[in-house]
Amino acid sequence: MSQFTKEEEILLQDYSRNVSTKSGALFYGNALIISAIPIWLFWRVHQMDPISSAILYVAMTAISTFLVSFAYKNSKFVLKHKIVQKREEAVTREILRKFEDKRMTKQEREERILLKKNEVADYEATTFSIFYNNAIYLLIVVAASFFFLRSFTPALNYILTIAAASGLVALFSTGTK
Amino acid sequence: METPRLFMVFCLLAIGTASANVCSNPKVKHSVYTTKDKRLSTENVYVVEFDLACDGGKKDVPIYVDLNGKTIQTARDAKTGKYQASWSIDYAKAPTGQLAFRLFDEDGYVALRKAQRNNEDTSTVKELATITEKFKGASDGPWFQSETVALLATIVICYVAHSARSKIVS
Repeated sequence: MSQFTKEEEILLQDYSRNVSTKSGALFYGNALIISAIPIWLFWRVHQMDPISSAILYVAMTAISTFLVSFAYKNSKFVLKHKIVQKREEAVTREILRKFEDKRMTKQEREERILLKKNEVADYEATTFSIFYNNAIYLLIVVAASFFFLRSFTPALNYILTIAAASGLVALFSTGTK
Repeated sequence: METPRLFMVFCLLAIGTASANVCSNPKVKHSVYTTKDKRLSTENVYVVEFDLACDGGKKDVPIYVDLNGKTIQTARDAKTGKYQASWSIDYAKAPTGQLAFRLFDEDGYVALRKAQRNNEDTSTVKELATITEKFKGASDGPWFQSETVALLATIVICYVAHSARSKIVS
């Protein structure tokens, strides 16, 4: 049996970097998709045959998936607290309006507001984190593979592009702002 | 006595040979290839390939093709029977628009060459058939490379994402 009240549990969850199973699945799924996109690019444009380069593709996609999902989690954590502050007023107004006619204790009302704030901030932070990190990842992939690493062999180009894109995205996400 | 007979045989042979090189009531099925991309070559190439059906099932009729004053003899594939002619012309002088490939048999070719030597109007020489093809000209390629467009698009999206994040974080 948990020692904490519901309110305390929500606060603990709020300040924890751990994500729920659903968010985790969403992050890993999106990270896998975005990490697999450059395979198509290198296959069709840089003429890297998928059969002969299969091991390289799988290995780099796995590494990139891990790093990008790490970036998603970090970005979400930073953004969530800021979003909670921004959305607090709107969520409070909505809950008060929704339960205007119902009799409720102050504690119950505050608990509902907290739950709703957490839910809204969680969703918005998750989706924005995915969007933001994907944008940076794809920018680095396009810039690196077509401009900076253009003269390299396709295999080396692929390794360095994916390493740079996923590495930099993970690095930028560790910032506190 | 022998000489007139020999002369007659010779005349008959000459007429027979001449008529073998003439195609009457020609029917042409053709395909034309022209250079599509200027960046991959230094000259514009025109290739015309056609099947020629003449009355009486005549085959191996020598055919000459003229394109804007440049006349060449066609090559013929012994297996398929198709005729083919090709030109490569510098891009600055390459004809565009409505191309007319004029086909001539031996007689027509002789008349055409005579008109060309005498600086006469060659359009008055009757051709065997004409193959027409519309050609806009070889492409110089796109104005912007696709990777540049992709990079610019991702930069714009990143800018929008960063602006939105700055608003949230501020």
